[in-house]
Amino acid sequence: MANLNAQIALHKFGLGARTGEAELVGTQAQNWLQTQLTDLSSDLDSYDLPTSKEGIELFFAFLEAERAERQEDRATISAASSPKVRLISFFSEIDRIKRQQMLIEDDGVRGPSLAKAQNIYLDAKQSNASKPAEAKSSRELLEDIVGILYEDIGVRTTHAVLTPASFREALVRFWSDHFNVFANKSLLLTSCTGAMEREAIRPHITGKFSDMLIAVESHPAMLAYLDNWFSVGPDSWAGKQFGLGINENLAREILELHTLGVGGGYGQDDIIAFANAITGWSIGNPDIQPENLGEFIFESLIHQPGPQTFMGKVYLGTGQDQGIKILEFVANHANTARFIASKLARHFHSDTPPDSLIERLEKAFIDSDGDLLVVSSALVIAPEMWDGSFVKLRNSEEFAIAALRAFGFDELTPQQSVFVFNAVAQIPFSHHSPDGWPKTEASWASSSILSARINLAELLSGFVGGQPPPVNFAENILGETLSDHSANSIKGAGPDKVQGYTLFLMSPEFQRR
Amino acid sequence: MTCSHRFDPSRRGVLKGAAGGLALALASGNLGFSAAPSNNKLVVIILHGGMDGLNVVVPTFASEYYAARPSIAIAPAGETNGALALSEGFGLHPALAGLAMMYDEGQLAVLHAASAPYQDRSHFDGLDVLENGTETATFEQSGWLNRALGVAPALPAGLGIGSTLPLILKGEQIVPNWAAPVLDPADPKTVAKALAMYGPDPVLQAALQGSVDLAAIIGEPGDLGSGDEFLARAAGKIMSAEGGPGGCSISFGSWDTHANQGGATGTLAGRLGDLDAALLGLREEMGAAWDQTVVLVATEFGRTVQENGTGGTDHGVGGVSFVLGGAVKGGRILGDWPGLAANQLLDERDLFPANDLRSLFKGVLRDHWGVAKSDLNTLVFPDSADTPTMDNLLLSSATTPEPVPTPTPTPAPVIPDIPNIPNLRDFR
Repeated sequence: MANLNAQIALHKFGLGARTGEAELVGTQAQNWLQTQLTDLSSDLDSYDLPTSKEGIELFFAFLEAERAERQEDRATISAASSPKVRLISFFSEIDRIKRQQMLIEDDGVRGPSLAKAQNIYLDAKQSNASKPAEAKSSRELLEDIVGILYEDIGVRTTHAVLTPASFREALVRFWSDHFNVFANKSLLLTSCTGAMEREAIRPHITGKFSDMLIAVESHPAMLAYLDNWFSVGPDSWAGKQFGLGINENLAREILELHTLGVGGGYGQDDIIAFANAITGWSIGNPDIQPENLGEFIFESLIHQPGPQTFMGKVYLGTGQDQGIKILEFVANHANTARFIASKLARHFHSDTPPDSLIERLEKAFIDSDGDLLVVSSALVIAPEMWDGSFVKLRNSEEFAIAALRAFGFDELTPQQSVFVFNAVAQIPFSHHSPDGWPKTEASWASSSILSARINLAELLSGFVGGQPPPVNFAENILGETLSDHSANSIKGAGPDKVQGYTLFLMSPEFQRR
Repeated sequence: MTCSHRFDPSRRGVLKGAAGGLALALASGNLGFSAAPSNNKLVVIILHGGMDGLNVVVPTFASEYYAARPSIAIAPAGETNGALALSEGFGLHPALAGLAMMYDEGQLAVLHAASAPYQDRSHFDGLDVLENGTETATFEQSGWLNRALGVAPALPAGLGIGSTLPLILKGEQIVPNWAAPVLDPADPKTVAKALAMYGPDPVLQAALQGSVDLAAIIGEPGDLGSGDEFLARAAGKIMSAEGGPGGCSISFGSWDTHANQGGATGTLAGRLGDLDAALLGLREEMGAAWDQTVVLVATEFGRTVQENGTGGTDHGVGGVSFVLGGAVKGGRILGDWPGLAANQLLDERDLFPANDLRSLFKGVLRDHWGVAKSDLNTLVFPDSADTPTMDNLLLSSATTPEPVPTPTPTPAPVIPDIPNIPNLRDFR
C-alpha cells in the first residue's frame, strides 16, 4: 500500500508526480504532505513582480497618458481642492475607467481574449524595457500592464510545474478560485489581479481564514471586480451631495460565495446592511487620497454613517471597523465552516464526497476558529482521502500542469503558459463570474474539452525525447493505479512513442485523480 | 430537492446504463443524430448576468419607467434614439433592429415580466433554477432541456456550444458539445485508440466520441464572424446539417450591468447589438430549417426598476424573454403586464414576475416537440402541474387549446398583498 499512498499524496493532494517523485515520498505520504503545511521554504515569495500598488499606479499613468495624447482637458486636482471638486472628478472618471479594457475583441469563448493579448505582451518585452514610465505612451503603458498579468501567469505556472511542495500549490489554486477575480473585466483589474493571489491568498493558505477573508475583501482587485470601490452610502456626505447610492454586488457575493453560502441564514436586508457597512472601502486614486494611490483606502466621505443591523446584531458606525467586524463574524460562522468544508471535500476527494469527510473538516474549522493549518491537516489525516478512489476529473489547468510535471518541463515563458492553458480552455484569472471555474465532472467531461486535451497531449508528447518506452513512463508516474487495460492500450502504440505518450496522458488514470 | 428519481429517462430504457447506451451510440456512428424522424429544432439561449428587461423591451407608456431611470431610459418610438415600436406601447431597444424586423414579420414574440420560479436575486441560484427547471435551487446536475430530449417522441439529439456543457444540457442523455478548436487535431488513429482505451470509463468515452461526431458534421467552420455571432452561427451550421441535432443551448455572458450601462448607446446597447447579430446569424445559418425552428432567449432575472447610484441597475426579478423562429406565431406581446406603480412592484423594487418562464417553455416543448403533459409536469419541470402551459405559441399549435381542468390556471408565482395585477389588455 505504500506505493498507493504515495500516488494519493502526489495526485489527489498534489498537482501530479514528477519522474522519481513517488520514491521520494516513499512510505511517508502523510508526513510528506504535513511538512508542506508548515515548511514555507519552497513558497513563491522571492520573485520580482509588481505589487498591486505598482500595477495600479501604472494604470493611472496610462489614463493620464491617454488623456494627454487626446489633448483632453481635465480640472487639476490638488491637495487644496475641495472634497466636492475631488469627488465630482472621481465619479466622472469612473465611467472612463470602467470602459478601459485590454482593447481586445472577446470572441465569446471564455478565456481566449487573454490569449490574444500575446502580441501586446511581446511588444512590451521588446520595446519598453529601458524607457522611464513618464516617457511612455499610453500604448506602451497598456503593454506593460498586460505584461504584468502575463508574467504572473508564467511565474505561477513555472512554480507549479517545478515545486517539490505541490500540495501547497494545490491549496493556493483552491483558495484563489474560491475568491475568483476576472482580470479582463477592466484594465484596472488586469493591473492587479495576479497580485491579489500573491498578496492576499498565498500568505494565508495555512493561516486564519478570517485573515485571508479580510485581506481579499479589502484588496483593490476585489474592490474593483465587484464594484465596491465606488459604492456610496446614500446618507454619506457624497451620497447627499450627489444623490448617489450603494452597489450591493460585493456584499452579496461575500456572503453567498466566500463565506456563508446560499441559504446561509441571511436575507436581502442583511445584504443591504453589509453593503452599507463596507461603503467607503475603496482604492486610492488621483482624486481621492492620492497619497495612497493604488492602495486600499477607507473614505469616510462616501461611507454610510450610523449603525447597521446584520443578522440580528447591531454594528455601530465606527468607520472601517464596522465592515471588519461583520467579516470576522461571518468568517467564523458555523455555516461558513460547513460551506468551506464541503467545497474542500468536493475539490480534493470527489464530486460526491462522503458526509463523514465534510463533517470532519467542518469540525476542524469550528474547533480551530477557522485555522486553515488545522483544517488542511485534518484533510491530510482524513481516512476518506486514502480510500483509494481516483474519480475526480482533473480540470483543464490541473491536467496541463500534471502533464508538464510528468514530462519534466522546466521554466515556462508566459507565452508558453498561456498557450498551453488556452489550448484546453482554462487560462488562469480569466473566469468571468465570481463563482470560479466549473468544479464537476459534468462540466469538464465534455466533447470539446476531451478533444482539446488529446490535441494538447499529442503536441506535448512530441517534445518528449529520449524517454523510456511510454508504458514504463506511465508506470513510473502512475504507479499501481495504472490499470492493465490502460497499460495494454499504451503498449498498443508500439514504436509510435508520440502516440504512446498521448495515450498515457489521456488514460482515465491520468485524467482523474 | 430530493426528486432525483424523477430524472430517470422514461423512454430510453434501452439506452439507460452507460455501457448499453454507448454501445448503441457507437454502433450508429453518431450518437443517434440521424435517428430523429422529426426535424423540429429548438435553440435555448441563456443570457448570463441578468439582462435588464426594462431597457430591452421598453414600456414607453409608463411614466414610472421614465421617473425611475433619469439617466438611462430609452425614449419612446419616434423620438431621437427612441425605441423601435412593437405593439401595446412597448418598444424594442434601438440596438435590436434585427429583432424588430422579425417582430414585424411575425417571427418574434415577447414575454415580459417573466422569471423562473426564483426571486432571491442570486446569479448562480437563478441560473440553476432556470436551467435545472426545478422550483428551487438544487445541486442536481440535470437540466430541463436534457430531460426533454429524453422524452420528446422524436428523441432529438442535443448539442452544446462552448468549451463546457451548460447545466441545462447536463443529465442522463449524452450531449456532445462543440467549441472552436485551438490546436491542430490529433492523429485520428490515436483518437480511435483512446476511444478503445475508454471502454472502462464510459463518461470519457462518450465525450471524446461526441467530438469525433461533431467534427465530421461541421467540417471546416469557415467564416462565422466573432463573439456571440460566431457561436450562434456554429450552432446553426451544425443543427441544419443533414441529420443534425434538434436541441441546442448557447450561453452569452456579460449582462450584469451594475454600472454605467448607458441608454440608447453604451455598454448594454453594445451587448444587445451583439445579440441581434447572433440571432440574425443563426437564422441565416439555419437556412430552410428556420421554418421548423424555435429559439428561446432567457436570462436568470431582470434588474431593479430604479437605476442605481452608479448609472446601472442591480439584481431584480421580472425580466424579458423572447421566443422567435420560423415556427413561431409572433408579432405579439405575450402574458400579463403587472405594472410599474410602487404598489405593483415586488418588494417595492422589482418588476413583478407575473409570467412563469416554465409556462413558456412547456408550451414550446408540447407544441414543437410533442412532449406529453405528464412528462412536462413531473419529469421535465418537476412539481409544475400548477403552472399552466402556454397555448397557441406556434404556427403549428392547436387552435383550440386542450381543455384545462379545474382549477383554472392562475398567474404564478402568486404572492399575497399584490393588489389587482392588471392584464395587458387593460393597459391601453
